[in-house]
Amino acid sequence: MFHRFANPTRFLRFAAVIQPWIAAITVALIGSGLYLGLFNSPADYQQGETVRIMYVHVPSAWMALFCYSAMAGACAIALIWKHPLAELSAKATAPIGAGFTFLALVTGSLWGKPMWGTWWVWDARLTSMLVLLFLYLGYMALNNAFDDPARGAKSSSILALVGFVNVPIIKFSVDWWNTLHQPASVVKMTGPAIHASMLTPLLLMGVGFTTYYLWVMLIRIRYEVTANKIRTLQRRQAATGESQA
Amino acid sequence: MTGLSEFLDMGGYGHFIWPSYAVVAVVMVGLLIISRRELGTALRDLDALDAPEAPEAEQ
Repeated sequence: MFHRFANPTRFLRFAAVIQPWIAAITVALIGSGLYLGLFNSPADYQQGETVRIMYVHVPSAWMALFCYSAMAGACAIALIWKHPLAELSAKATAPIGAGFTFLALVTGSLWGKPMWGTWWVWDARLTSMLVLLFLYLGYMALNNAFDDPARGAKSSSILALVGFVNVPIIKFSVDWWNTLHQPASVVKMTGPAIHASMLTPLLLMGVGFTTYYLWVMLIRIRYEVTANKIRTLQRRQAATGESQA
Repeated sequence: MTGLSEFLDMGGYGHFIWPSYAVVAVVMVGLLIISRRELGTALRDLDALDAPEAPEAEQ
């Protein structure tokens, strides 16, 4: 059933139908997550009120990794099967992932100052997240660096795939190197180590950020498909213009 | 302290917590608005290109 949406025109029709639903779900999830996180969850017994930064920091960091994995997967599909929509969805994902990585770094810094006493430390987790931001920016720059979009897509896809090695490094950095950043407390073998009053808003925000990603990605894919149509039309009109002249 | 200023103070950490939420809001809402605007401009450009000679229907 999935390959039916591989056709860009059919995909656009499908996207136009589900987009308002995704938008509504996103607003509801983030709205209720914000309400619970800011008004209806306790302060941490060690970190006090600063724990509320977690409700935006952790989902941003999750999405930074999720978007990169989605982008690298789409790049692999684009390289192997030359799938047009895979290439466009990778291109549509990159700025969203870069945004989330930037947010994870900035909110982490704002959390680090009061809790660790420093805005930044060259800790394994923080450094590998900074590398992730540069991978996103490098992908976007390389994608636009060629006159021929196909060459740009191919080179940047290879960069994205090579850079994927950074994703497990980020994930396990807190276990491999024992530095300032704390290890995982939600996704772990023994189950979450967070009380439900904090876990609920955190998960609402996490799912809300995911549907936000889908929402903006649909808009950006529609943009990329439209931009491709414009390029094709312009080339065709230029060609007929030349033959008439 | 009143309820509101106590809430905004966040146990003395308000000036770390509120900028965190603000930067997230600015980036997420900003990216959404920019993406919608880019799509809108592209759709208008496509209409303008398509209109004068109305080439064959899209497949």
